[in-house]
Order: sequence, then C-alpha cells, then structure tokens
Amino acid sequence: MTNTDPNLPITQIEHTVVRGVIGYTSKKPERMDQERGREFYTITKYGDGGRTIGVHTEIDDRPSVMRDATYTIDKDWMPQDCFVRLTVADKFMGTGWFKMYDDYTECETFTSLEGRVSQKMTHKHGPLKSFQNHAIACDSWHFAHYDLSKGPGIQSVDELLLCSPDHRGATGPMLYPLRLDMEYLGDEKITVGAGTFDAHHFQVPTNNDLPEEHPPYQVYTTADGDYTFLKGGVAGYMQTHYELMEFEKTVG
Amino acid sequence: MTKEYHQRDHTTRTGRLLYTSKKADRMNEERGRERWTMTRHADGRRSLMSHGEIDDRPSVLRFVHYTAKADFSPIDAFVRITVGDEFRGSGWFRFADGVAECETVTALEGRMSQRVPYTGTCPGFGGHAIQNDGWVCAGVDLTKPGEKQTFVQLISSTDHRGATGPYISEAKPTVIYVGDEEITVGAGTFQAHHFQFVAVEGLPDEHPIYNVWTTTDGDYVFLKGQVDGYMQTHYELVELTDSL
Repeated sequence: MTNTDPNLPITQIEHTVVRGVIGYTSKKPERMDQERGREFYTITKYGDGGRTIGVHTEIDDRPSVMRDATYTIDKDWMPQDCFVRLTVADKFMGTGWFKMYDDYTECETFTSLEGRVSQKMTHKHGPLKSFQNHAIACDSWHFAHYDLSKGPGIQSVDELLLCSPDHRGATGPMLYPLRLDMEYLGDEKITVGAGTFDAHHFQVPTNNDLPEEHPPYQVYTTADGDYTFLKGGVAGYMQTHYELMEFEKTVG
Repeated sequence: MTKEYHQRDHTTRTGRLLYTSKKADRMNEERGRERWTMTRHADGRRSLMSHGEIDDRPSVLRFVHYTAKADFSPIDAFVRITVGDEFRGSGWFRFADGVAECETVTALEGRMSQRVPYTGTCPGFGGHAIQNDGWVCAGVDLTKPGEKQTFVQLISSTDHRGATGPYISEAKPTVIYVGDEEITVGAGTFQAHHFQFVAVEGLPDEHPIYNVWTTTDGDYVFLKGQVDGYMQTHYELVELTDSL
C-alpha cells in the first residue's frame, strides 16, 4: 500500500505524540517519599481528536504488579477498545481485550485463575463514558466527563467499567461495573517533577461500591483540555503518591 | 535501596529505533520511528511493548504487545493499527494447547474470531514491530551459518508494512544466518548476529531481501536492518537503556 496521488506530500503526519513518566512514591511515615513504582506512556492524538495510550506500569510493592495497557478513546473521551496484560509477583496473571460498542462492552480474556472467559456486559446508561484500566495516566481522563461550566461540586458517571475491582488492578483482567463520583475542587497552579502547570483539582471520594472500600483519591490534571495526569494521592491505608516526572512532545 | 516489601524479579530495557529511507531522492530522510519497552521475567519470559510510526503516506501507527516464552515461542499478543490516520484494526492473539486464536475487529472485515491449529511448539509470531523482527531471528538455528533455513511464522498482516488486519496469517520466511560481526549504530557499538531474509512465502507480494542485525546477548535486540528492492528502507537503534 503506497501513496498513489502525486499531488499529496509523500509523508503524512496528522497526529501528535507525547510521552510521559509518572513516579510512584509512598507517603507512609516509615517509607516517606520512597520510590515504589513507575509508569511510562506514549499518547497518540489523532487528527480527529481521538487518542491511544500505550502504557507500561510497574508496582514494586510485594507482590509486584506489572501491567501493559493500550487504551483508545474517541474525540469525546468515549472508550473504543483496550488491551490489558497483568503480571503479579513476576507470574502471569492475565491477558485480555475489551471492545466497546454503543450498547455493550465485550471482553475476551485468559487469566491464571479463571481460564479462558468471554464476557458481554450490556450498558445500563447508554454508551460507556469511561473505562478504568488502572494506569495512573488514564485516571485523569475520567474527569473529562465533568462539566466544568457548572463550577466546583460533585458530578457522577453512572456507569464505569473496570478491568479489575482490586485497588491495584491486580486481578483479571475482566469486566466489573462501578459508579464513579467526581468532585471538582477548583483550579490552581502546581509544580511537579515535569514542570509547573495550570491544573484542575479533582477528588474521587471514598468509593463503597468496590469489594473493599477505596480511600479518597486526589487528582490534579492539566487545564489545557488534554487532562494530563500531573499529581495524585490516595489517603487511608494506601498513602500513595503519583507525580508526572517527565513529559515531552515527540511528534507534531 | 531494595527493602523486603519490594519485589523486582524482572529486568527492563527500553529502545528507540529510527526509520529512514535509502532511496536516492530521499537519502537518509527520517520516515518513521519506534519506541519499545522489553521486560524479561525471572523464568525467561519476555514481553515487548512497542509504538511504531511510519510517516510514508498513507501513514501507519501501530501499538504492539507481544509476550514469548524463554524459547521465543509466543504466549499472547495485541496489535492495534491506524492507517492514514484512521482506525484499521484492533486484535488480540493467544497461543496455547495447539491452537492460535485471534479476537479482532477491523474497519474492513468487522468482528472476527479465528482458531488456527498447529502442532508441536507454536511457531513464532510477527506483529510487524521492527523489534519484533529481531525476535523472529530467534527462530534461526545459529549452528547452521550460511544455510537457508525456512520456518513457519504466524503474522498479524501479510502487508509489507503490516497495514492490514490484524488477524492471523501464516508465512514461511527463508533466512540465512550470515555470521557474527561488530557493528556501530546510533545507540553504540555491539557484537551482532547478522541474518538475511532472502524470501517470505505466503505474502501476496514478493518481499525484497531484508538484512537484520541483532544483539548476541540472547534478547535479540534489533540493532540495524535494511530492506532492498522497491522499499529501500533502513532501520537503526538510536537509543538503548538497560534500566528504568
């Protein structure tokens, strides 16, 4: 397949690419600011506004979690498809593929615990608005569905699908439905390892719908419309901190 | 400092490849690029995660994840391609119990499920990431330098640029292990295995001769490659890190 129109340039670059590195540290007193993981990602933004992220995650806390994910959303931040591969304690945990349609999401997966599973989950609230693949870089994308014109407050995504209900995403990958509450606290300028940014400050309040209650989660995203994850922290028993350490545009 | 609550049983390498042209009218012009992350687990399994971009119109953007056993036989893979800045396909592959399966949705073929039986050890997989081409070379018997060796590969696309599918097709590359030599690329100087793909049976169009150099450290890191004929493309490792 080659370019057959001599009137067009020989190359075609309608997309942009950014790459980022997020550091994971602990805020527990006995481990204060100690590195406990990292995440490397590449985001391609297509000419039509859709995006694909390829992200490699390593959580060092025993049992270690390694996760590779590739997740695509359209220009309206609506999920299109996702691949997730999990290694826990350096052993295979699962590999799965998710495809979103208007009415349902399907999952084809193979896990060390459940074997080969095909799932089909009908959406109860229209097309799926967001998908949780557990990459920190994608946690900030949920907030693109918060209507900022209404100011600070709490808004909800009635139906979110997860690839795992585990707090570290260390099971499955398989479908799990959840409601997501999002609290917008306002804007501020913040400095992280990657630089100083104008940021939206959001919070996910305590979530009681998971098998185990998830502590409140603070998230700061860029205010430029890309919802790039800048900084975050989980309270309670987790005491984890996440921070964008490197960020660069490589194409476009 | 590693504490008792830390677990790092794997190693991670990252690399960056540049795609350039060797056509007379585009000599050494950048025409694409690829970044990859390779993890090697304690039991020898390796996972490759790659993001490739071919700028030549129609452009091809590709995300590839591929995990193989210590002997480079495939376990599972994922390929997602965009052609001309438009969605072309997203597919998941699994290789186990004598069957290669693929669950895929493509812009041309729609939703498909494939089951392709095989006997013995599953042949290697080609997802069209250039680093993946390095891993294909792991299927070559290094005790037979200079001999033509033909083996079966399952591939995600029969297109030379991997711009169709993704779904399972079968190809039979014929490869010569030329020998070892020291080479210098953008990422440094390495001892290298030199392979030459002289033919690939199973593709709709004849693939030109393809020379590939990989590391000799067992990871088959793609160092340099060149396709002759109508393609005149060159691929070179320009960055390599051995830790995160």
